[in-house]
Amino acid sequence: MSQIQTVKQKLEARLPGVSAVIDEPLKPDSPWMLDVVLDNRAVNVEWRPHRGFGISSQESHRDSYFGEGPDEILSSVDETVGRVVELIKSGTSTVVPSELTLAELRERLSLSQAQLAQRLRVSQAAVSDLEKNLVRSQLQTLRKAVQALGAQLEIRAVLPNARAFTLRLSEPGPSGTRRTQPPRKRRATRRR
Amino acid sequence: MAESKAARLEEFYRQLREVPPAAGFEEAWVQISRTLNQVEDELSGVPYDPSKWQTDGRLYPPQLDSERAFSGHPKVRRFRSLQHNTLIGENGSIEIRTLANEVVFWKVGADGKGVMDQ
Repeated sequence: MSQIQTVKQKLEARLPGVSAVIDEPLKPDSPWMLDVVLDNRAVNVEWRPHRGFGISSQESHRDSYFGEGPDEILSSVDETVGRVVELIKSGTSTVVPSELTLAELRERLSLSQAQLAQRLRVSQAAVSDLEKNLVRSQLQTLRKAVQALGAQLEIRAVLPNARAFTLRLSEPGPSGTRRTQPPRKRRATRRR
Repeated sequence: MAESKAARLEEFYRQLREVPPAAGFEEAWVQISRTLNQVEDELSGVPYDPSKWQTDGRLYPPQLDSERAFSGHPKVRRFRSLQHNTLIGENGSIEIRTLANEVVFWKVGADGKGVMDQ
């Protein structure tokens, strides 16, 4: 049984009366769709074998979102089932990633400021300040906060020609010097 | 300033209607991809990056690996995205439907026939 079929089966067990219909691709390695509907609430689950699950709540205003990718990406069957059940039962919408603040991310993970403070070994007031004053916060503190939530902080630089790069954040070493990766061996390149 | 998704989609439909009817699947496929990418380049403010899976706020044309069977219509190919099905006929006709099966765009092929007329 494939992972998307397991998701369907688990949803049917946890949500009596749910309609969960798999839209199968022509080639099994391609993206699969699972359309979940219960009491006028609908969620689309996209499964990409070897990549995970994409989830989007389906609402009428999204009829103009032609060809968009999913709002949320999850890696496991159980996470996906739990999130879909939560969305269907609460009637809430999936969260578009660019709209998430640090506080919203923390709340999504059901963590209080005190719990995050404990992970960071700082006071709750410090977490509160971090969430309110992101611009003034030290980058390293922000990165540690994001890591404590099990995520990675990325900063993207978008050039005028629309090419985008993710900037790597190097960690300062013990004496304040930057910790660097050992130099890579250069491969001989041939000029064209 | 970037236009709303609804405004961009309407512009895509408008421009796609203005293009002469396609003579076959390949031509219709190129028309859809080229038109939507042009509209999004001009109006979305989001760089083209189809390798991203999670939404980046940009609208993308159907991908070949999203093809599904369309039973009872061997001359029609169906491409599924999260909220839509795009149907393309062997004759170059195009139809876009919501998941509720509402037709939100249609265009005949060069032979004057629609997707469901084949």
